[in-house]
Amino acid sequence: MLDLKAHADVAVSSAFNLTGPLRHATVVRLAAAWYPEIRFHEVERFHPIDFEAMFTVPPAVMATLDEPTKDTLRIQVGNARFDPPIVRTGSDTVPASALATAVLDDPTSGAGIQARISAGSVYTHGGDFDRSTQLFGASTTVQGLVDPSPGDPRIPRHPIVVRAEMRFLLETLKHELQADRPDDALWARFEVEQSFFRLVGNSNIPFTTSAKRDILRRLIAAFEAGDEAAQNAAFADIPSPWQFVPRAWDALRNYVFLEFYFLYAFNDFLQVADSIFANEHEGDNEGCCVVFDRRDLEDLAAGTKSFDEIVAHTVITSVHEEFNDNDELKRLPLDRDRARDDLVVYVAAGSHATYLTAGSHDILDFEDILTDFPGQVPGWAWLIPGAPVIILLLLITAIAEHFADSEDDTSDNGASTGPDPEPGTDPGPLVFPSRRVVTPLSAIAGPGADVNAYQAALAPAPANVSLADLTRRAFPGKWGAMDGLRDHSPTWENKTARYFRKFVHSGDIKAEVIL
Amino acid sequence: MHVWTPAFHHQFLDGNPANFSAPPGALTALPDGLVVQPTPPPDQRGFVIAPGHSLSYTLERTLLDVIGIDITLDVVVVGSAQDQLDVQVHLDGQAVRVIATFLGPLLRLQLVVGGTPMAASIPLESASGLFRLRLRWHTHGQGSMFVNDRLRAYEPALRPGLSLPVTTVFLGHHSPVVTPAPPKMRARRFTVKLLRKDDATRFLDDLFPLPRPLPIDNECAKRVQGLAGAAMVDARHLMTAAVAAWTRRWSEGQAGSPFSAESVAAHEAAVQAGRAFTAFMLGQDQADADRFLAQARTFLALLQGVDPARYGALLAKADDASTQLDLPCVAALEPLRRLYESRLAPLAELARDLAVVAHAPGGPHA
Repeated sequence: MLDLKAHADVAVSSAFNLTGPLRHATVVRLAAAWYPEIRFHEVERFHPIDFEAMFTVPPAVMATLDEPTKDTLRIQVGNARFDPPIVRTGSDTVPASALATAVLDDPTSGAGIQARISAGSVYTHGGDFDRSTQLFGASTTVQGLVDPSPGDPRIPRHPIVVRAEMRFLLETLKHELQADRPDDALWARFEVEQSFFRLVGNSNIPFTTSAKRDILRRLIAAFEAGDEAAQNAAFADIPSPWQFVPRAWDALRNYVFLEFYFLYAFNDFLQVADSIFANEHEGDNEGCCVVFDRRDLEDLAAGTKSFDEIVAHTVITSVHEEFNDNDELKRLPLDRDRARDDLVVYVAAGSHATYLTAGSHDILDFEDILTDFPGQVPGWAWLIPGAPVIILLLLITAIAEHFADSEDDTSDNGASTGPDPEPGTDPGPLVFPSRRVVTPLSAIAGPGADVNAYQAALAPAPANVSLADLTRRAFPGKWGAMDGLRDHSPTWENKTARYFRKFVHSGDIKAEVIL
Repeated sequence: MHVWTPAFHHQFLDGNPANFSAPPGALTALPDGLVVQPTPPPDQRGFVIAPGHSLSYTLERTLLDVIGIDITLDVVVVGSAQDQLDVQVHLDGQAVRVIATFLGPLLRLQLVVGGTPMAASIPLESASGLFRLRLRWHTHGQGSMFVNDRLRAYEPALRPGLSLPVTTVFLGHHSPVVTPAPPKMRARRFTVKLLRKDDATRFLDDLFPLPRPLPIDNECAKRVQGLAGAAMVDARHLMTAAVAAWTRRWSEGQAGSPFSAESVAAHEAAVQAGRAFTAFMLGQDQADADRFLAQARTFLALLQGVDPARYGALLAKADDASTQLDLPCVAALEPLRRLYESRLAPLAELARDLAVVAHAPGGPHA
């Protein structure tokens, strides 16, 4: 069960703070100033809507429909039919009425709903393309047509909402490593310990994940305390021939991520792609990350640097699964205006994979090439003895080798959103407004206490945070009910770890000598 | 879910030569090394292609049994009609070479695979601009050259049957000596994808993933894999024959198409069959199975027509291999078989239906 009050208590006792010396209000300003321009493909049907709309849109749309149409959208669970959305956990179904913001916001009823939610929970508004389209999908183009074309994209059906979250990497890892880390989707995971150690040569000496995490915990504590001897002692406990990776340590200490999350109601890649790449599911979490130099932000907080002197360092995007190793990264120009102009991301039609250029993109998977399959027959072939399966294998092999690989398409000719236009300027008919929701992750307690999402679960809760918002953001279950062999809905996953690994691999990281 | 797999991908998005994706390996950049330069303005981005400039990547692990190569190279040319500008791509030393020479509004393109060249002179609409070159080779003999996403040359018998190892990837100019002249060509995107002998089988395995390793008797596995492998070799020979029969050497400017009506029909049927099979594996819908069988029948009938005797021998060999996947052979798999029996029953039925179709593809439709 989800117990956000307990999580908030841990947050208070561990002085949870992911924004270092920055106040939440400054994070909001930075998120506005360095909000990427987001260009969608003209055929895009689903645009980012964030968590709240996943719950509020279906009831609002249902209210406009006649009874027969409503009934086609109801979700059958056992013998009962529910209006969308619902949250299912085993045999328990939380109906849409109990998922309303007012219910989730109330400390008593909200705690009751939390008690019915776990990592095994599944949010759904129907679990298929047709239902998602009826509730969330865009249907009309800018010129009022049904079929989109370059320069005449589909109009976003609902207001575009993008979530922004700032994470100082050092603090994020510190809170990841704490022993009493709560288990929810907001605190989530920053499991990057493998990035800090590499094996040079062969060794049978065990160096477990928990041992790596322990060394990192000690290193961070020593670093924060300025205790060089303790740092050296931690380094000395790395078993040879394992070595510490200074580049990862430099990235951790010297950079800050401002993550932008694009939550879509549905991934409909199969509707737009002419390929055999299976990729369709309810719920889709994508996005990008803008990297800052930590020292700049510390100077900003200290007042020794002005807001206009802050220049974002790098942009990273997420492309399909992290194991595909195909995320994109670009070091931004040093000049502020040029960096701002260069901060453009492109959302691929249907899949919502996020790229840095327009055009076609082979869907690459660098994991495959590391996987040998010498002379084997597929595992499933062994499980159907007696069937003449080899003919099937030969035929499909002959076909599959000649397929053109799947591609993502991104475009400069679709709808777009981004930073607020200059007053008095007309951005044109293809630019749509959007709202940013910035998750407050600043100091929850102590003398510098500020705004933090977990405060919503405390009693009394401040007025500027919402328990409903925290409940939706921390929801540890799946954001969709599709559960096929390959097409499955995701749980929410903070992308901090994958962005970190990409940054360590390809980023322009300033090196500091470890003595 | 992919069949061809990437070996190197660089988009030159900034001034960091090491900002690329690839399996583990070592990058060498000449002449400037791996120094990170400030990100240039968009029009000056890309890796300079000029004498003395090159990127070389050496994979930690050699990729064996490579039977297909797919190279995409986007270049921006700022030269004039008087310039002769060249860019080269090499895989594994000289085993695979691409040599692209821009001579004003003419592109001379060569693809050399295992010492055998394929060449074409391709007229361009202009001497400068962004050009996307794509070169693709498959061990069935097909060599293809695309410029700006349009097929410009095709070869049906480019080193059929060849398989080769790949350890190194090179992009650059043929001359190693740096000259002071300003650069007139930049690479904007460079992607190398490879097809290894068993990649398609891995793709099939992925369609219904099972926990690995499976408890299969070693002797049994060797026997089945040996027979299936032999059938695969024969299937490749038949496909090579089909490619030779259905397609012809062609380059832009020649009349007609490199692809016969049979080849177009076979391709369309194969694509539809592949798509239906994938859909069937994901959803186990009978309509997808029916669609697959109908398209497979069309494809197999055309294939049988290429060489009926070889087709018949191949089926016999495949049947023989299938009989080795018998119950005693998979005894240790019995618990798994029971676990997945109901989910795999439609697939077993599909395999049986396909066998009937394969033995009489020209027969009456079900």
